Amino acid sequence: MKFPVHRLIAALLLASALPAFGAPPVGPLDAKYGVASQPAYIKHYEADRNGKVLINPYLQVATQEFPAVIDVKGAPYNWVIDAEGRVAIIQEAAHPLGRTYEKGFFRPEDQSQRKPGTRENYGHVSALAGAPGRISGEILYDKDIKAFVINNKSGRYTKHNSDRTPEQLVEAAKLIREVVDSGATSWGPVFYLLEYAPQDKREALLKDPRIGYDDPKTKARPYIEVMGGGPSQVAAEKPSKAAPVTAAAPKAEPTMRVEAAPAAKPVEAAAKPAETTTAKTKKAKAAQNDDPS
Amino acid sequence: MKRTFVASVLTCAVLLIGGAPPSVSLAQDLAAPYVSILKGEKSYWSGYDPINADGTVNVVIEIPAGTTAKYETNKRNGMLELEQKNGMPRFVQYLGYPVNYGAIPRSILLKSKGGDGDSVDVLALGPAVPRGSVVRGRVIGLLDLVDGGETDTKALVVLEDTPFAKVRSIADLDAQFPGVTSILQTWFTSYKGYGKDGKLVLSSKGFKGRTEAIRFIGDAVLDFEMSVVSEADRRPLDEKGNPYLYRWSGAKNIGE
Repeated sequence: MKFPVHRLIAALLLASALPAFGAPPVGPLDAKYGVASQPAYIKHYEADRNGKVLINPYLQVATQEFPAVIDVKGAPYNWVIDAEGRVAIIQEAAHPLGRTYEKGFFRPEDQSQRKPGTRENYGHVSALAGAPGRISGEILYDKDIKAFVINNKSGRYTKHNSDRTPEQLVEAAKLIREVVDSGATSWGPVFYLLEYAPQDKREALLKDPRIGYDDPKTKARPYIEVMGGGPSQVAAEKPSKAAPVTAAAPKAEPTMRVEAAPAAKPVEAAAKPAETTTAKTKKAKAAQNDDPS
Repeated sequence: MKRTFVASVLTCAVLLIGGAPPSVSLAQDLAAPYVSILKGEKSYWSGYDPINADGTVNVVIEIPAGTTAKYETNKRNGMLELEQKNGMPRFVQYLGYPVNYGAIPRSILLKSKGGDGDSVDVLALGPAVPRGSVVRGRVIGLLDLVDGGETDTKALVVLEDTPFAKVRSIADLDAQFPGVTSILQTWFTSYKGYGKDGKLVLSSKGFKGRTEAIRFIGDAVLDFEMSVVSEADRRPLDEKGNPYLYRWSGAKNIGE
């Protein structure tokens, strides 16, 4: 059968135009926090028999209307900016389908040898049930500077993506400080870890004048401090006005069953104003461990 | 009110042993219907997720606000059952519950950790919700109760799409809905009356904040999951004791 040349040209033109139509739209959230992308991988224990990625039982999804709450006892936390631009926060916990490897093990996803005693924990994907996410990282409590440090350490949502920049981490950190109540603990510096940077941007970032290293002698684990510390921007939770009710016996009428709870004097908020960490006496740690969850 | 899952509760049986208590009036009939078993689409004990991806929790409503029939989840069959006491169905001998009362599915307060072996009890703030509904809410705190010397903590949850939905903490609840915390505390410390020693059976240490509540619920959910998982549920390891690469359809599957 003869195929007209003009039809062939038209078909070729249409085919060349299709990728443009099919390209994902770049919205404001994409520019701010990176395009929501599939997790790089799911570890063998993170999905159940039906393939459902289990949600971390401590999950909080922070918004302006409903901020998350964190405290020193719950640290370290993982955070992920979800497709809607909300901050999903989870605390570290052992995964019920995971194991502890007394002799260590070889992890096939990143071809890494894990240390003896490594426990399989809920990872970043358990904050979104495996759904696509934007830039992601950790919130660590640094006891030396008594502050929460934020970084971009995530092997699933930060690494293996071509558009996760230091600027996006700054935007994410600003959002976290707006929607996460850190109680009496202030926010410390924000670290962009170059091991989680896009491959093609790493060389340029190594020339950044703010560059630092976890181990300066060997220049191992480079990072850039992209933002200084600051106070929490969320008003800390206050205790209730309701006073405790003790198991006291009735004074006069033994048959009377109910005594109205006294209108108690409000208990003043115990939370202290957040301390800032502008005057750093000790160097903050950029990351806690080498497990890219 | 938005309900995640059903409310398609099947009334399975009308099994009131010995009939209704003699003192039950028509009004109480309405408040405490003559059914003693409710079966949901899934097990109320283990068939529903405890936590949703938006950070809300699911609550199984066992006792709607305003009612007195004391239903609870049967762990063996996953149904809601009207408690029996001395061969009679149990109705609270007090004012009706001031709040929807329920439980978080797939959670357990382990006896080994000082719990009662049941799921996390929830006070779900909002209009009355039918028994057997599974509704979404946000955790705002804990009411710390002591029942006969034993800890009996209740989680406070604000239900979605209700006037309480925007409350984000106990202090917020006090500010927006004055008296609610006092009402709850008074009711729950009073409804069992006085003990033989002339003291209230229940007492309260007051309320705790959201940080403690999230940890309390998270621990109970994790304990449940840990308690139901066996080695057979875990994916096998290779001959050297290393995990195999797992392929998931929604991931990039780096490493393949």
